[in-house]
Amino acid sequence: MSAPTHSNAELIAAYLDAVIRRDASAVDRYFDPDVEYMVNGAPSQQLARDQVAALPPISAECHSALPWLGLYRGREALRGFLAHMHRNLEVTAFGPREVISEGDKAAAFGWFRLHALPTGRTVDISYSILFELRAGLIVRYHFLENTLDVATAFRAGGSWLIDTDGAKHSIPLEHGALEE
Amino acid sequence: MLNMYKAMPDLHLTIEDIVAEGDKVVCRNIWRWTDTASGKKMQFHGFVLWRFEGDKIAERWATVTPPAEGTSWTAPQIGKQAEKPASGH
Repeated sequence: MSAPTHSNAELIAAYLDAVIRRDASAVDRYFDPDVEYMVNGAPSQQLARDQVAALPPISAECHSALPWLGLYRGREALRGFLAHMHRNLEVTAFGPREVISEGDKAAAFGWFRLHALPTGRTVDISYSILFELRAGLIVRYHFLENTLDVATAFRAGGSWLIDTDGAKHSIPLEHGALEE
Repeated sequence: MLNMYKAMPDLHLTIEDIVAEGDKVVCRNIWRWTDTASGKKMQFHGFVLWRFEGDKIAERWATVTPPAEGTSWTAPQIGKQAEKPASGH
């Protein structure tokens, strides 16, 4: 069943607003019981086990820095993800976003403001989401964000060592748009 | 783009999802290639948004994952709709 084009954008806006309010009831209101909810990808072991090679792998390093990233199936798993995420960060705002809809699919591009609770840092993160809807509920939710910027918000010290074209760059803590 | 094609001579793009509305198109893609130095199969994933003016691309936004070692993949059969050579991304 196809949701009307305008309601896809409204549904996405309503869900993202519910995330800011930490409204746990949004899970039942907006998601199909069998939802596939992916945040940046899935740990390689899970991908291998589930044989879902069409989804992006999350490296062990990235997963150890941001352990709530991953692939969640069903509303209960989604509730667990949101609780885990909210223990570590607050989403305080979503910036202007663009929503493109076609039939049962929609995509959103925009940015959100993240406040990392352990470090107190606030950063703006660009994101994109692909949605698939069934009977007015989200049955597939694939979210990608700039994980380097997110990880930087939680980093307490040291530096990143990045190898680019054979040259090693040390990126100190001050790198990036941080608001201390 | 030419530098990318030099670094990834067998770069292959798979369109997993596509959404279009008005003058905008969004794709969920997987880019796969063989690293020329190590011979490893590599991949990254992402969403790309294009805005068209007439028959030309006027704007492009993308969110992509870091490159990672990927699973092996098979080159597409000619005429298969969902698999296209990487003539752009």
